[in-house]
Formats: sequence, C-alpha cells, structure tokens
Amino acid sequence: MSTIESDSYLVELEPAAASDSRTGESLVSRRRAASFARGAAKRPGAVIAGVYVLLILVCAVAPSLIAPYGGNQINATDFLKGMSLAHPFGTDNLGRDLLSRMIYSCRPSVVGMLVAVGIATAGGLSLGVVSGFMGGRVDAVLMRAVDVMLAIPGLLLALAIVTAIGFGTVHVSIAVGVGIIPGFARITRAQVLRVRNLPYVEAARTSGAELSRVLWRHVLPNSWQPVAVLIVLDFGTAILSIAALSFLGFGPQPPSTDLGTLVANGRNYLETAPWLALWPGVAVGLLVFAMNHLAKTMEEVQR
Amino acid sequence: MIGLRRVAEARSGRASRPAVGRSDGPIVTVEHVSIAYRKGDIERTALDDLSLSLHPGETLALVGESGSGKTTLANAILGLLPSAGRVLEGRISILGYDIVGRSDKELRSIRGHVVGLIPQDPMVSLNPTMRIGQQIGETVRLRGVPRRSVPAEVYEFLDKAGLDEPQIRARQYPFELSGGIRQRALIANALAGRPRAIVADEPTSALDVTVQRRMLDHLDRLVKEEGIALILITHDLAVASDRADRVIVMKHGRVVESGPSREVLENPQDPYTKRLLEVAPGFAFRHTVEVGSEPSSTDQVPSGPVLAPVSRNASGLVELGTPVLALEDVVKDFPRRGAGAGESKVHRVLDGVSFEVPPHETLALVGESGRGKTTLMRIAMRLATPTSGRVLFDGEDITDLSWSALRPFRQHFQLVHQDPFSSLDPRFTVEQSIVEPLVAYKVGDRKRRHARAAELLDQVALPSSYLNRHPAELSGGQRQRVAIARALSLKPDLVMLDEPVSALDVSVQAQILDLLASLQRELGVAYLFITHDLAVVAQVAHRIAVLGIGKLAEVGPTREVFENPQSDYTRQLIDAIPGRRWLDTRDAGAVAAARS
Amino acid sequence: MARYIIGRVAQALLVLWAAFTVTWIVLYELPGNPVELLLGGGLGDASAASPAQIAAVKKQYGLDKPLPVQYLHELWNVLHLNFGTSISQGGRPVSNILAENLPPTLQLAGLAVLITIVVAVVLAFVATYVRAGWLRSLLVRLPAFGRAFPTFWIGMLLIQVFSFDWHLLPAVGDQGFDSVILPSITMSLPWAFYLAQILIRGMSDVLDEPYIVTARARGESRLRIHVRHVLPNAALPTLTMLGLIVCWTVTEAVIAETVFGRPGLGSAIQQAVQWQDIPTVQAVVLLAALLFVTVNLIVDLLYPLLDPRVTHVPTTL
Repeated sequence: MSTIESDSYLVELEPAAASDSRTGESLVSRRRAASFARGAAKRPGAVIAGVYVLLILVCAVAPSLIAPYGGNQINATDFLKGMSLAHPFGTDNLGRDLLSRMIYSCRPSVVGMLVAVGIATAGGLSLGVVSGFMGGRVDAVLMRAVDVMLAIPGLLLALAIVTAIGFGTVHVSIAVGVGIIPGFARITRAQVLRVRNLPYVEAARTSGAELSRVLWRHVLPNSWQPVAVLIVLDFGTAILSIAALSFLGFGPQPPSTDLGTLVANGRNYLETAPWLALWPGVAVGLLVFAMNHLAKTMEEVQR
Repeated sequence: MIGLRRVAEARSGRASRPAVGRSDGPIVTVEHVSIAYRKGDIERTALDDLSLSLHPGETLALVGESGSGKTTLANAILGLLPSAGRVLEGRISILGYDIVGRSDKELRSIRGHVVGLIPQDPMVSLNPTMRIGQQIGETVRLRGVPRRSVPAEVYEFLDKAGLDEPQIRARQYPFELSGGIRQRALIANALAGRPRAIVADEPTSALDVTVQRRMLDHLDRLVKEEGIALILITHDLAVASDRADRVIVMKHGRVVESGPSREVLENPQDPYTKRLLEVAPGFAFRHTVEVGSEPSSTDQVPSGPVLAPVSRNASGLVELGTPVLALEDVVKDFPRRGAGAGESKVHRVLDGVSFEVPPHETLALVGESGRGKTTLMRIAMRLATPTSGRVLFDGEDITDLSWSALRPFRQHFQLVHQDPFSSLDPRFTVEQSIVEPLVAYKVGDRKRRHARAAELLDQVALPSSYLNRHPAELSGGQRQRVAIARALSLKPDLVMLDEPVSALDVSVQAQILDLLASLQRELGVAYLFITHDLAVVAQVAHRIAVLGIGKLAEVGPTREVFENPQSDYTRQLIDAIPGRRWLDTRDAGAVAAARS
Repeated sequence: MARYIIGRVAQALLVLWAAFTVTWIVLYELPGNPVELLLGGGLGDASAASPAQIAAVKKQYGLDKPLPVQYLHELWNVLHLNFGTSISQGGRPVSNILAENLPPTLQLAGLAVLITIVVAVVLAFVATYVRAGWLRSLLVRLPAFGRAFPTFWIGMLLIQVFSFDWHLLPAVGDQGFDSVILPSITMSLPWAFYLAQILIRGMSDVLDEPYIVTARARGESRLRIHVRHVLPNAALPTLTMLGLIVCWTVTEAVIAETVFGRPGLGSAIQQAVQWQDIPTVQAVVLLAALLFVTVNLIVDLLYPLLDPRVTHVPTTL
C-alpha cells in the first residue's frame, strides 16, 4: 500500500470520526440511561433495596429533616408507650420517641460503616493487588501475614483493638475495618491471579507490553468488578460488626447512640417494652439485607 | 408408565447373547420433532421438524457442526433435556412407547436399560471421588442384579470394554486414569445396562488421534457382537463414513441430507454436505497440491489451501537461508513431586529436540497431547527456558536472554494463541487489540496505527466496521482472524500458531487455513504451526516434525512424511486419520472400474 | 504422609506464635499509655498514682525494659501459661479466670457447632432438591435474609418468643440443658445460614457437572444422585471454610453470653474490654487463636482421608 493511498484512506476516515464523537457522546449517554432504566424495571427488589439505603443515608446526613421529634426530646407523659399514631415505633422509659431516636442514630452507624469499609478497601486492595501481581516471594510472605490475621476471629481482634485505643464510633470502625482487610486482600488477590493467567494477558506480554501497561490496561480493568461487589457486601459485614460492638457497649458513648446501642438500651425492657429492642434491630437487618441484595444484583449484571 | 417398565424389564432380563438382527421394528423413532430452548423471554428453536428411526443392530451417524442440534436430539432421546428445553411438537418413541412429556420416574426405567449413553468428554463425565468399579456397579445394580453378583458383572463389562486387569481397574479413581481408559470405563458403564441402543455423543473428539481410532474400532466390534444399535454423533464426516451404515447430516436444527453412508458420500446432493466432504480433514489432506508440481491423476480438483512455493536453486534442490528459528538439542526437565527414593527427581519432558524453521516456510510440529509440544512452543517463544540446549532466532542465540533483552527480538516473532475466546481482552475493541504491539513498541502515531489496523483487518478479510467491535460480538473464527492480524502488526518474520484451529468448526477451520496460506504467500512470513491433528497440518505445512516421547520421531517434507513415513509412530498417526477406509475402498473401486 | 502431618503441625505453631505477636503489638504497643491502663483500667484514674506505684507497675509488666526484651518476657510467660493478673477482677490470675469460664462456654460451643452443621446441610439439601419453583426460590433466599440480622437481635427475639411469650425456655442463666438451647441457636444461626449459602452454591455447581448427566443417563433416581454424588462432591471443597465457620460460631459466645446473662469466656472478655483489662483480653484472644489453629489442623488432617485425589496412592498395575 503506497503512502498516498494510506493518506487518502486517512482523510476519508478522520472527518467521519470527528462528527461521530460530538453527537456520539450524547447518544451514548442517553442510550446508557435508557438501558439502565430498563434493567431497573426488571429488578424491583434491587430498586427497593436501593431506595432503603438512600433513605438511611438521608437520615444520616439530615436527620432533623425527617425525624418527627428531637433525638433526645423527652415527652414527660409518654413513658414506655407502645406503637401509636403519635409514636409509630413507641417510646422509651424517658418518653423519647423511638423512631426519632433511630433516625438520629443512623449517622454514627453510617459514618462507622464508611470508615470501616474505607480502611478495609485501602488495605485489602493494596495487599491483594501487590500480592497477586508480583507473585513469588512477595506473594508468599504477604499471604502468610493474611493467614495469621484470619486466625484471630474478627470480633475478637476488634475487641482487642478497642481495648487498646478506646471506645467510640471511630475507634470501633477502625477496629472493624482492620478485621475485614485479610478477607478482602484474599479475594482481590484471587481476582488478580485469575486475570493474570488469562491468555490475553500473556498475549499482551508477547506483543511487547511492559508490566506496568499490562497491570493498568489489562489486569486491573478486568478484575475490579468482583471487587466492587465485595465492597458492597462488606458494607453489610461492617454494619453488623459495628452494631455488635456497640451493643456490647464500646461504640458511641452516651449521649450519642447508634442503632446497636439502641438495641442494648432496649434490652432491659425486653419483657415490658419489646419494641425498643425490636425496631432498631430490624432497621439494621434490613440495611444489611439491602446491601447484600444490591451486591447480588451487581454480580448478576456483570455476568 | 407400567407398559414402559415392563418393556424395559423384559429387555434387560434377556439372555446375554441376543440374536443379531431381531426384526422387532425400530428401537427409536423420532417423528417430526421440534425442540426449543427458553432463555428469559426468548425461545430459540434448536430442532425443526426432525424425523429419524433407528433399527436393531445398525449404526446411524448424526453429522453436524456446533449449533446443528445433534446434542439436543441425543438428550431428547434419553429424556435428558434441561428444564429450559421443551418439545414443541412431534413424537419420540422408544420401543413403541412415546416418551415425550413422561415423568422422570417413568423415563428412568428406559435410561440405561433400553438406551444407554457414552458421553463426550471422559475427563469430566465420571464422579471424581468414586471408584470406577463403584460407578459401573451402580448401573449393574439398577438392572436389579443382586448385590453379590455385581462385582463379577463389573469385571465382565470392564473386560468387554477392552480394559486389562479389570479387578485392579475397578478399584481405581478417575484421576488415576488417562482419557482413553476413562472413555473405556464409560463404554463399560453404557454396556452394563444391557441396552438395546446406545447414543455415543462425539465419543472420541476429546481423545488423541491414535486412541480415537482404536476406540472406534472397539466400539464397532462391541456393537456387532452385542447387537446394539448405535447412534454416533460426530462433526467429522470422515469418521461417519468409516463407521456408519446410515448418515444424517444436520444443520441449524434441520436434516439437510440422509441415507446410506455410501450414497451420501459418493453422491452428496446438498451443497452443505458437499462442503463438509471437502473440509473434513481426513479427506482434505489428500487434495493439497504444491504450486508447480503435478497433480496426480486420482486426485480431484484441489480445494485446500495452496502452499507458497519452496525456493529451489538451479539443480532443483531446496535452497536454505539462515533458518528464522532453530532449536538445538533442547532438553527440558520438570521437578517431579513426591518422587520416592531411587526414583528420578525430574521428569524429562523433552530429551534433545532439534529442528529449524526456514524463512518464508511453514514447519508443522505434530504431537499428541501430553507429549510436550506446548512446552516446546513456550521454549521456542522464550516464555520458558530450556534446561539445556539452544534457541536461535535468525542465527542469534536467545536462549539465556532476560525479558528486557529479548524485547527487541520479540518484534520479529509473534504468537497466535490456541483459544480465540480468551486471547483477546474483552474490554478492548478490535482496533485496540490489533495495535497493541504497535503501541507497546511505540511504532507510529495514532493516525498511522489506525491506518495500519485498517490495513491488517483488510488482509485478514474482515470488514473495517469491525474495528470498533468487541470480542464478544465476534464469532470464534472472526476472533482468530483478529488474533492473526494482531500477530502480523509488527511485520514479524515468524508467527507461531498454537493449535489455531482446533477450537473452531470444520468449515471455519478451512477458511482460516486458507487465510494463513495466502498471508504467507503475500507477506513471506514463516510459520511454526503446532497441532495434534496430522490431517490439518498436511494442508498447510511444507515440512513436518513429528514429536514422539521426548524426541522427534521424524522430520521431513510433508509429502515424503505422508508417503514414506520412517517411524512407526508416524505410521500410527497416519493410519489413525479417519476417512481412510472409505477412501481406500473408493480408490479400489476406481481402479477396478478402470481395469474393466 | 508423616511429612504432611509434621508440616501442618509446624505451620500451626507458627500461626500461633504470629497471633501472639500481633496481639502483643496491638495490646501493649498501641495504647498511648499502657501504664495508666494497667494501673486502673480505663475506668480508673491514674493521675493520683505515686511515682513509686508507677515504677512498680512498670517493673511488674517489664515496661521499663527495651522492646525486644518485653516481647520475649511476655512470650516466656505465655508459654508457661502465665497470663498475668486481671485488672477487671481485682488482681486474680488470668489463668484462673480462663479455667473457670471455659466449661460453660464449651457447652454452648459444642451444641452450637452441631446445630450449625446440621441446619446448613439440611437446608442446602432440601433447597437444591425440591422441584417446586416457588419453594426453591424461598429456601435459596432464606439464608441471605436470615444472615442479615444481628446475632444479638436474634437472641433477643428468641427470648421474646420462647421465654416471655411461650414460657418454654429460660431467658437467662446457666442452669440445666434448657438454658443452653436458646444461646446455642443464637450463636449458630448466622453461620448456619452462611454455610448453607456456600453449600447451595456448591451443590448447584455440581448439578451442572457432566458426571451428573452420566448418573441420570444410567437411570439413577434423583434422590440417590443427590445423596451419593451431589452432596459429597459439593461438601468437600467447603471443608476448608468449615474450620473458619466453626471458629466464628464459637466466637459468637461473646454476644450470646451477654444477651442471655450466662457466665463464660464471652462475658469475661466483654467485661475485660470494658475495663481495658489487657492481660485478660490477650489471654482470651490467644485461646481463640488456639481454637482456630486446632480446628484447622483437624480439618487439614481429615481432608486427605475424605478426598481420594489428595493422598490416594495410585494402584500400580
């Protein structure tokens, strides 16, 4: 093929490409939105789960907008009343509206969850990617360290860390986050290994690609999706662990509460006012279930 | 339901030597059957108005490529359609009783006792944690045989299936056994039900060529001895020709042609059948003609790829330049785990292999699985290091070079991988995949690379609109073309092809081989072609190297290796190519006709 | 085979040692002021302590010595089962506390592990066997739903229903077998569901394997195939998780004993953390690591016996 031919070939192509890209972009994003809407319609469960999660987030960010009463507002005459129109979830021993208290408790729970998963992701990702990609000695050493961490059950490790650094929302989330790192690292590593051994990665190498190019352009883009699913799943794990630690008394210290503390407070009134312990626990359970369902949906979509 | 059961019991309780050719009417009748699969909201038809009948003692071949519906039909006959499958219309009768719509319980009385199955892939068709004797024993037990008589029967069937030392074999687990032996165990399992008919679903496609032939021979014999009717499912018309009394050719769920095998093969009516005949490797290899040499009188017009001429000097001898790739005395050892005292600690996979790939020519490396040809290829590609010996590229020793030192050489030799489905990054567009080598070596700028991608796509005969597509949108053959285009992007001197067509349908295989031959003529690139299929290789290679156990059994020009094989192993491989029997009888007939 | 065993035991000891090191770093080196903690716990006030008292504590815990010496000193103690004295229980030797609280917790743990395994296997078997689409859907989704709820909440729900409403079982205390039932169920449910999920996935995968087709093609009944082919082949890979799941089940004792007011290691550590009682916390954590290592060792040794592919010596012809 002579140079002249290739150039004219180019001339032919260039203008078409340019016009495509201008209109093309808005077309593509509109198409994407449409297919997202179609996918959502097919999966009502995921939509409900998403709405619930958003609701909790709103409660965390702007509780005063939603809560009918203040978080610590005492209504002198309404002790330990059951569910009613005025108090949909009942009141506690100080006459405080349970629903409002629950709404105000979302913030520490959500903050804790975000901090915990943030730590877990940062630690787990770096460990997993480095271990999986470098292989050999590095991999062996790092995975041994991870194995040891797995030998201490997450709850106990978190308890040990809390013993050392003190109580409170942030302390508990750090403890929980660190406990999640080993599992996260393992799964990330497994994904990286899987992709690393695929033929197209080897093909890229034999085509002359440098290791860094292989990592950035081939391995990471093809292994992040299962990891994203894991992150969503870990939100659920984190909430449960944080709630447990709060229940045991190590979470937010009075007067602030999170959902786990609320259940602990309700424990003393289990026989007389069971709703105090029931509803906060349901809220936690539904949040975890919603997260897990979203994760499952993400997995299905990826396949 | 009761009727079916009684029939099955009566049949299985019969004496061990039934009279062959009992004219009880057909065993299996399929009448105007259509089957569809449901996926989500879409229903896709897999079989369309199909009819056939199977008579006692006969062998019927179902020939078709992937998507032809032959496996669906086999599953339907056994009542094993997956839950997503549905029979839309028609009847399937086993011994006169319609099985469509019957419950699982009712169908159980037929499965194994009236119709047996030999599945396709012996490596995954046996319970990995159960001894094979136990598994075959279950089939025996299901016939109602009392427990104490079971072991004796198991040994009997293992023996019939051609396994030595049945007592020991019965106690072995599948992972201890090779593919060929596992398949025999599965044959024993099928026989153990004492069925009237057996469905053999591509029973040899997962096996080595030499083993294939022996297996099919054995199956032939068994079927004749026991009087069992056989439905042989295969994609290879040559195999069908050797073994079947009648042939049914299927395409996209429909019957395209059917009849006695002799008729179908000598007088194919449908163009699809004719095409299958042309491309069946067992037949096609005979039609290869080198440009410039005389076609022999008994050969038909060549339809295979035409090879590039081999350069010859004045006295007609082949001219040799510096070989583009040379391996000298390559030895490769692997550490052997769990070696006991006194045993060798290493497993010597390659024991002094030497060969050369001349420039602009094709050397085919032929070997069965497990012989080390992948190891050899990886060494040639310098993805692995030999234990001893040298690898020379264009005369330069690259044996011990580090990855970065090798990089400049890599421009000149590239690899096309075996599996077209995973050798392309699913997230890259076709264009991105093709130009990756150019990007890696920083050749040209974006414009130039784009132009080059279009040029390459043209050379591999794909439309330029494919540049923006993703691998998921392409078929296997198209992906392989993209992989070839990628390999050619740096204008290499040598391209190594690791079983580039084994994962493709027969008709697509032929297209890719054609493409490779024409690219060689145009660009002068040399090929190292690695494969287990001797028949395929005959169409594309100038020279053949046959890999035996650790060493080369034979090296030489293609024609010579086929017409005058020097080693026994090569002879075995050639004999194992399906289709010879039919071609031999046809040639004999032609000679007789010529004489009279 | 002997080499395999020795290798595994050595590995186990290594992990134990590493767990000890991690615990030591966390508990003794993380806190900013170990001396304060050791003097009076988090709830105590160390500002009034005299320099002599501080020096005494430092001497007792070896904090006046350089780091490596501290570490070795502690390691030596632990190896002799000397875990120091408890802060939360007024100076009692920690080893006494351990000995006292171990039996009630073991009671709970034993029953809980049993429940976990049985419930998981039965649930997974039925969920993958039933043909009715709606029932299968329900059963397969059940574990995901059940797992989402906090253990302590499940415990309280059980108390509400079985103690307060139906008066069947005691709500608190440790008298008699009756009092073991509810706490054990509480501990085991989340992990039973988790194990069930793993088994369901495993069994579904096995059902898609070609050798199941071979079994069906010979006329085997669905039930028999499920029992003899699907369950064993699906269960084998889960054995590795089983060790972890057993340990996590046992750890739930912390929650269960608190909710049900039972004495045991769980409530002991809860109290210990409250007081930032480092020696006790360390001891319990090490005990948990010992449990983990032991259970995993048993699984590692059991696995080859169950999976012929691992150590079956091929019969030579």
